Amino acid sequence: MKLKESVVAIRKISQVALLGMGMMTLPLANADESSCSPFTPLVKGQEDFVYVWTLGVKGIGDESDKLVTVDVNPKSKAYGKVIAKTSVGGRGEAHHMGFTDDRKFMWAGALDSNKIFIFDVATNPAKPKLVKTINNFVPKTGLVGPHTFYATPGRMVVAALSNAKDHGGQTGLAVYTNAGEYVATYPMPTTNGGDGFGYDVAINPNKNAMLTTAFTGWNNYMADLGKLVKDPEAMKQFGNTTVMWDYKSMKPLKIFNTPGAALEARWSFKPGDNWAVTTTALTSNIFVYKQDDKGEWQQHKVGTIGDPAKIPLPVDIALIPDGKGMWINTFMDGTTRFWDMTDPLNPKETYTKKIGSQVNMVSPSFDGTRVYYTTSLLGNWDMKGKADEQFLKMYHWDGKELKPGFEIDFYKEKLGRAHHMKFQVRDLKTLQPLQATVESKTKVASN
Amino acid sequence: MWLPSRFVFILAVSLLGLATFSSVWFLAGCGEIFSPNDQTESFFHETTNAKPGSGLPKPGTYKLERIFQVPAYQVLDSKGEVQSLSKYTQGKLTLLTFFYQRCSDVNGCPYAIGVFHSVKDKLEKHKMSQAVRLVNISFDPERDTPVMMAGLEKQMKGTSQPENRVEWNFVTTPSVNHLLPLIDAFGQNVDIELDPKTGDQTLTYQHVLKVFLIDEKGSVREIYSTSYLDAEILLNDIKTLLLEQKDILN
Repeated sequence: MKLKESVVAIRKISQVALLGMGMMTLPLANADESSCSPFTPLVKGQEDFVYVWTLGVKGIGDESDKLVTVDVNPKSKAYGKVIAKTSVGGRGEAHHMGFTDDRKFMWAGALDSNKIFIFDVATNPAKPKLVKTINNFVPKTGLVGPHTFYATPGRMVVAALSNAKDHGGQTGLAVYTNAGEYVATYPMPTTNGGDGFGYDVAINPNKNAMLTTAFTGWNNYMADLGKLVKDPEAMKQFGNTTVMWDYKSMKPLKIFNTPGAALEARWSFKPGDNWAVTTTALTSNIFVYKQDDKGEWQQHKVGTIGDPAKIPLPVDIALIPDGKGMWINTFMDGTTRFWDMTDPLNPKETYTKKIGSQVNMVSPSFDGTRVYYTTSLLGNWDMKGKADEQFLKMYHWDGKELKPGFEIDFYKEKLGRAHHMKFQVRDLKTLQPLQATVESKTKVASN
Repeated sequence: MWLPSRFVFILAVSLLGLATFSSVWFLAGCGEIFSPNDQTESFFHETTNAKPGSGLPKPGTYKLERIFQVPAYQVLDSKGEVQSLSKYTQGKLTLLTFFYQRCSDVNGCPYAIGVFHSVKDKLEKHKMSQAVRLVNISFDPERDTPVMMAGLEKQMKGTSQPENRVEWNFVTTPSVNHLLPLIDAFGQNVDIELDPKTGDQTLTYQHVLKVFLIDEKGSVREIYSTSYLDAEILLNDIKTLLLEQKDILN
């Protein structure tokens, strides 16, 4: 499927029962599916595949960054096995990825080469195909380190980490069409308390609000972690702000002081919730964002993760479907932590489990009963020697205990470092929008 | 009945107020001059109850980027005559969406038609009918023939006077082969499903419905998907583009 010729798929269906039905009316969703954009249809049932954006490692396999497809449907004969590998040729610090608004294409970025790879994940979801590579991200945008790929209607927002002038932390957001054409760049604010740093982006369309977080520039994220932490000047070059934006105008509404590099940004999409959450890597705090009675966004420091003095390094987070719980991974101790978010302003840690010597990403299924983990943070930040475990692990979650499902050793399989995960289904007709009822559409008007 | 009762609900949504704005005299599209009058001024004056950060920014305070240029294609009008698509996408602001008449998903095509009705009513109420056109292009050229399109155009006219009626065009294409490059150009995904027994098309066109706001020069300036489509948002963006025209012409 070519990128420009792919929007139409002619597909056989099993019966003619759909005659006259048109599009199906879909139920109101309660939450996001891990970190997907609210504009992207979701996998609300059993996921068939997990894609793992994997960093190539010298001396392992073909040494290239690659998109690895794992069959995760328990009814499949290939359950728990790698069924496809799509190498992109070379190593560029593979990091995060995101679906387009129709979930037919996956954009995957490389933080060092600054390449953006676009995979067709609809024609044959079991075997993604690289259909386009954006090679001119830096000259087009002035930015470096394409990190987050977030769908909006017909477009992708790309949140970067750095810039082309000094490879420091000043950065911004770039917007592309789904076809990969550049549209615009929006710098992170550097006035009114803004420090210009960036990392993640998350949008709440019902509130016309967009939250961005702040990490560090190329000079730091490509440095060896052991050397970096001993360099006091370099350690000052981490973001200490988060920004709530007016999504429509792409203008900052309010800049918050959020010390210690806030990473992942997530909204609870449970109807009526309208709060967002992030965690800080260096200070181990949880921050929640809610509007006050006057409609102004406020930041609340609501919790501390582990012992901040030991710098457990909170990394990925994932809200569960009803917005009442959140998984938080701490990289340095390889531990996953479940926090009860029933009262988001007073969350409580209720469960911990060591997943491995290091752990980075966590992705729960939409119903929350399956939880997937991967290991790699950054090529030069991962553990060394035996502690450098690289795996995909799946667990069953019954609300009390994580029980092992399957595990794939990414070094043993000669794949590389396992980083970002996304789910996909074999039949894209089964995808469902996050918000589908007419009643929900009144929210902007009634706010 | 194709027009569901929820249109009443949508109309109610559309009647909610919009952002306060200073008195505006402006020009729009094709050299058509809007003389200021009570109705047009009130179009920009109406206030919104949205709070800062929880609703929409004021019209004219933000920029809508040029996302892509509508490419040159040909379509069939409701008389069955071949027309350049630019006839329907240039000269004034355009709200365009793809649809098919048999679509029965209340959150799909009918919902978008309902939102278009709300926009139409608002524009006509404020004597702004010449500022914007509405365009529906069919996914289903086999069944949505020019005759069917003519029927829909007639149905959508409503009770407004001809001189104060928003132009609403329903167009189709000669065949699926003509249609495919057009919807590709817009990035409008659709799955056309086939009956495995006969190989024939079913009547289902599964798609994530999108609405495109196009400026008077044929440039797409905003894209909306149905899950978050709202008449108030469309009107806000329409005002912003009208104010942009005014700024350019001044």
